[in-house]
Amino acid sequence: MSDRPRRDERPWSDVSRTAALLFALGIVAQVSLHAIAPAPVARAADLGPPPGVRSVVAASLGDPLAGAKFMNLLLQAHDNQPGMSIPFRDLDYRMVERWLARILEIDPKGQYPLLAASRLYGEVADPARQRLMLDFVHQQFFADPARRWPALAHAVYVARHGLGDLELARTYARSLREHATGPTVPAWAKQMEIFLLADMNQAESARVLLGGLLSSGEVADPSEYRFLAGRLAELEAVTRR
Amino acid sequence: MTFPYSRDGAAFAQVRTIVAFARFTLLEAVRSRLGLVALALICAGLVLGQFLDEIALTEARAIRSAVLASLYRLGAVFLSASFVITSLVREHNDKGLELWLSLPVPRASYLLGKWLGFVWAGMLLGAMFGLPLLLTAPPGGVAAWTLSLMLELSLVASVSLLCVLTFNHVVSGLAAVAAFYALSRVMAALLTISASPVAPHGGTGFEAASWTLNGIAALLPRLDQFTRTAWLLGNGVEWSTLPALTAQAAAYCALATGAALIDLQRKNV
Repeated sequence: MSDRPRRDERPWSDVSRTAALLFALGIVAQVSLHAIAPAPVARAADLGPPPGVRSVVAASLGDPLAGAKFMNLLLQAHDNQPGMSIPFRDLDYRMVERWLARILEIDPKGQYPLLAASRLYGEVADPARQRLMLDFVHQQFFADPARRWPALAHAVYVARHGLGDLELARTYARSLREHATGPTVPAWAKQMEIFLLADMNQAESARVLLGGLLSSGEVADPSEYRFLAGRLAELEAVTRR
Repeated sequence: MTFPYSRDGAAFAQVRTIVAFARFTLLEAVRSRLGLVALALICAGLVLGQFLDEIALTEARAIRSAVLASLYRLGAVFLSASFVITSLVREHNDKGLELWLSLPVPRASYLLGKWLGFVWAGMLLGAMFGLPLLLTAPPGGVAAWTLSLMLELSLVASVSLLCVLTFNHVVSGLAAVAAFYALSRVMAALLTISASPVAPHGGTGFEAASWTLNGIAALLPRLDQFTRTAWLLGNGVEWSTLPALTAQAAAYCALATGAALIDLQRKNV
């Protein structure tokens, strides 16, 4: 530290020892207090009901989208990685659902709540909680299928491989096929039901659905067409046996 | 009990000077109508509370306490910070500081005297804002809330003193105090979010941001622990937290006042 004074400043040597000592004591005490204080940790019990839409509008000073984005992060801080031990087993998933629904209500174009529901909360090792989250994704899907289909596609996967519930997976896959009909939805998402039917040994239904899809002209990619045609041939072989 | 210094001793004279500056500062607070503004805010809060009472379907008392507490806390902090900043900027512009320092008065006595006066004014403001809460909340909770508000205002006054000596202007000083206050209040929430296990731990960008956040948090007081509305809602007062809050306020007052003193002693006035 240079002792050369600037034009409007006196040299450091003019600072009294008392001032330096007071400052040093203060900074040591502050850093020590910070070090010994327990780190702030989110607890499951702390998750209360979500704020109302008007409260979010007021709290975000008239910019509710910013409030909704912040709510995503706030909610996320209350949970943990799925598949690992669940430190927040006491987390009230009904409350989580209310938070996610409120965030979607404020920010309907946001994907975060649906992604969190299907990929975070929906993968927790607790079937009842998983079903709650998957149902939430399914219900919300109908409000905007063209935008929300990825979350439901993942829900099909979770229902099939996580819960082992083929019927539930098929329900979601059927919703995808019937409602996610926009041009931005890839064909594989619409075809999920076919593969599930095959898994359910309902080869005949799968064959009919797949045949319908191929003849509808929706499959534009030649490689994809070849792959699906091959799959159809396999199914026809199964149904002939 | 005997006083450790003789009546003619330099140390005693210094203490007398500090107390004199503190009394002048308190007098200035009275003459600048700080109390009247606080009273107006208290009355406005009471009217708002009455309105909330009328429209609330249930828990009207709790809603009124919570809204009033929040309004009064923010109002007290704003009044305290703006009084410190405008008082010193006015003194600087009127060349009052030069006048004081032309007298045989150590700069430390001047600054500590001003600081003590601001802290006294903050204590009085805290008591003023705490009293009306007795109408809606249990006395134990109000006592803890008021004591905590007094500590918070002492801390805010110290930081305002540092900011105004550093920036010398009302707008920049107030903006700096507002930023400090807001960041200190939300820091715990930011740390909680950054500690979330779903955050991308291990990523360089995230680790750098997290390290910076923790560094800033180490230098900020945990203001979210002060003046809690929950104490007023009959959730039980955690008296055991008050010594920790006092230690936090004392540490930060020492830090901010020490830094302000260093700044003043280096000023070419």
